[in-house]
Amino acid sequence: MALLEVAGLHAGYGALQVLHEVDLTVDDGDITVILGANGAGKTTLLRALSGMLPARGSVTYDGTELLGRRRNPARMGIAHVPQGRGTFGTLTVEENLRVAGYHRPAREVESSIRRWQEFFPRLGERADQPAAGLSGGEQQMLAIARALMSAPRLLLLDEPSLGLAPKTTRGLFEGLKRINDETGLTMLLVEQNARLTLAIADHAIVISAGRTGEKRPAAQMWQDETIQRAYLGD
Amino acid sequence: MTLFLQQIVDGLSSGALYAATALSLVLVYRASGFLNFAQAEMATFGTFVVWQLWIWGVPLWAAVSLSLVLSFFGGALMERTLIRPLTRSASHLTLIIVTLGVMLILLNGAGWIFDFGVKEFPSVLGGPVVELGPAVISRQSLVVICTVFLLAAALWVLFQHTRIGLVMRAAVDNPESADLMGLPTGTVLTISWGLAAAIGTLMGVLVAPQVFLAPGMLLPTLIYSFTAAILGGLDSPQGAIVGGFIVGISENLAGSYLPGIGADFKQAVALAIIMAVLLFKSEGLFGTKGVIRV
Repeated sequence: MALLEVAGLHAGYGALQVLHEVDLTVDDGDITVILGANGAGKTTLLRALSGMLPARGSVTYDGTELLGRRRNPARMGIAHVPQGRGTFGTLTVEENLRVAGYHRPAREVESSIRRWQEFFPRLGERADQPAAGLSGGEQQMLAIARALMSAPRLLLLDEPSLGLAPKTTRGLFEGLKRINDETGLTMLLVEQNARLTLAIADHAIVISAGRTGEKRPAAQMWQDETIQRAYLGD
Repeated sequence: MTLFLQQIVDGLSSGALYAATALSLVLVYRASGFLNFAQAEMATFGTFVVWQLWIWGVPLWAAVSLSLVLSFFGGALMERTLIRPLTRSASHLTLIIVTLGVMLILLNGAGWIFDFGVKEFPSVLGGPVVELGPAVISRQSLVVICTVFLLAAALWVLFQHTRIGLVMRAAVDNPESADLMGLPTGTVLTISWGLAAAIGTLMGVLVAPQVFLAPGMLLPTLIYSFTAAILGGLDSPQGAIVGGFIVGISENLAGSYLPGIGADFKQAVALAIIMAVLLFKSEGLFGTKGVIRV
């Protein structure tokens, strides 16, 4: 069953139209990846989905139309890990996690903090340090753990591999896969790094110049020659 | 030596007032990103409300409590009706002009409602001066200084140990992320303005017996409070406190010891401090680097 259904989505920044015709579905429990080059509209798509940009068309989440509603998607179980992580640098690592649980009962928040500190041990070790002092990989872990603190049903990830060493990225993606396996959390990733994302994704969609292509199983996308040329570098 | 000590003590008394107003300025700066020029006049207006209630026979403590609540809502209302609708489209300069406008309205409004004559205001704590070694300090000044420290402690608890304080810090740190996470960023903005207004009124009530209540009574001190806030780093509450005391003490010492300054030219000290901070250490003593100064 589709948790998220996007149809005929148009969005942009003022006069600059970035998304021209985006159609996609994200199935419950799946990891879906949207592959695209720089400027293809990946970030714009996620920003439109979480209500940061005005958009036209239709975005149905769990049977509810999101566009035109005043309610913040974050309050409906959609957590967005923005490009550049967006962590709170002056807050400690643990405060970053705690503030993300704002809308949940206090007891759940404390057990959730412990849970994600165990899952990402670095975040436990550095609990009392300001987040600004973390390395890039740790920042990304924190951004993801922070998103998970809101107990979302859908996790939107904007280029989590950006600026990370390949080894760090691999570890991070393995972590995402494990979370998906253990909790069944639905994820929508946008990425340039096709090799690593296709390895953990169930389905993949290509976006170029603000238009989406057809959704295909990730394994099948591996075989596609154009994808190989464009994103896998061989 | 006695003169020196006395100047330090007097500097602490006036510094406490600067610190408290600077605290209000910093709260608003952290929330909205600009200095509220109406801050001092809002405090004076709140003090007039206390005075009016007191004249009508309301006990002082009740009048103060009521006015603090009204000030909180007044500050919150100003943010919601005048500032918020403009933040999307207008520059900070426009917003500063709006606060200047509010300052003039409150200044003349207070004169119109309560007239411009100087009014006597009851002390919270009267009685003889307290001797601190060779120096003396009035009981009221002691109350002012203690209140500033209590305010600082209360704000520290609010920011460090409450849920809403955590959200306030997150919203200051990264407003976009805070919005994205569905945190109540608008609410904490309004709360900051309300708190700033209430702190202002509390200080207005405490210093009114000394400076005498009149429209514009805190205007002469506003430049010092601005200096304190800038010296402290504009976005740091502890910086505002430290800055307030430094400005108070240096202003008093300069007035007594520097030839040619005297009581008439003391405000130049504040300007010199502002210039020095902006030229040599624009993030102030405790501020975040990269804060844009307007």
